[in-house]
Amino acid sequence: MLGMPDFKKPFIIQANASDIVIEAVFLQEYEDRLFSLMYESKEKEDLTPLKEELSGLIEKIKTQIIPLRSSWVMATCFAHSGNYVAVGGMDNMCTVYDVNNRDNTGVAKLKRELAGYEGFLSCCRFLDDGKLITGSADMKILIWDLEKGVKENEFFGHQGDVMTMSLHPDRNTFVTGSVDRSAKLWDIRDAQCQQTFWGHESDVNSVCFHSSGFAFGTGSDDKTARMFDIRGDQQIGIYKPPTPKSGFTSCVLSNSGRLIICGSDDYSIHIWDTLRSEHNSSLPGHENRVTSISLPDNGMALASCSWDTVVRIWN
Amino acid sequence: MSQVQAMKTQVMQLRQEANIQRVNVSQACEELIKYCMEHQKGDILVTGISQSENPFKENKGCVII
Repeated sequence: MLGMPDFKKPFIIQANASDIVIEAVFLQEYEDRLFSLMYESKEKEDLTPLKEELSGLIEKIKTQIIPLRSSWVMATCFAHSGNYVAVGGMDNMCTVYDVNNRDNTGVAKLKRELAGYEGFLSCCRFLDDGKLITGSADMKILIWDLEKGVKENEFFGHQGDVMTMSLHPDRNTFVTGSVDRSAKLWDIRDAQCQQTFWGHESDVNSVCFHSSGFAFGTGSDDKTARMFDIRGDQQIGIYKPPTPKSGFTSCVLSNSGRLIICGSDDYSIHIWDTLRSEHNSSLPGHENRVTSISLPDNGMALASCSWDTVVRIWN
Repeated sequence: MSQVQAMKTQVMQLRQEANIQRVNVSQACEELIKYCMEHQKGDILVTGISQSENPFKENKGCVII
């Protein structure tokens, strides 16, 4: 190591680890200049001390690196307890890792590998530490029993790739969005589609429940975001940016439901006032398509990720 | 035959969805508006937060591995 970052100040860690080599670059601002502290190991060198040092540093900033078997990840989700994380994508599988238990290489233990999909995994949500719901491009929605590692139930209905899902705050129902342009509300206990919502003119890429549970917001390739009311069984709002250029990849509602926020293919994030149906602002900054946005439980900030390899936090 | 069965299931599903009890949008929206207004004060993205209390105030990007 050429040097260590000062952990009290912000720094960026970029690391690449494979069986052969570990490279880590730490970037930290120093007197208004960005400088890098870099280490690169050589092939066939004993990597154990490096791996230990890297894990020590990582422990300090309280994050974990879980090397994945496939780089085409499209879905990722934490269990509400924080004990497990599920990932999946073009490998047509969903893999669940145990965040608190490491295996003998120091990496989070693999708990379950769920296979049997005929299309990419697009979304997943934990109902609790033992149950996972997944949506995939083969139009399937499955509930898995993670203890036994088996499918518990299947939800039939979508006529196109299932792209997104959102759980109702009470966890008895959930809503999904699909390439078939519809959003569907499902009852978990009887595995039935209860309602179907039409309106979007193209793929529904993202759905997000309103914290009241009465409605949900959606983002679509048709360059609009919409709000659907469950008890009224119809669309109650449509939100367009001032110049509709691109589709929306992701969508969230703020904690009170007053704001609907969407990440767009046009590199920005659009915000609307749901009650006034007014475009509030658009957040520039990303240098490529915004693929995903998310709010913490306390609704205090917005995290956005993009193909420009940067995660941004906004508030 | 299975295609007929599939169609029958679809029609049954459509009938079920058509027959649900619906609330008038005027009423449903009123309740939604009420909910939003009540919870607005606690919604930091709407009301904002002073920089002294903001845990995210360092506006630096992070590159995640």
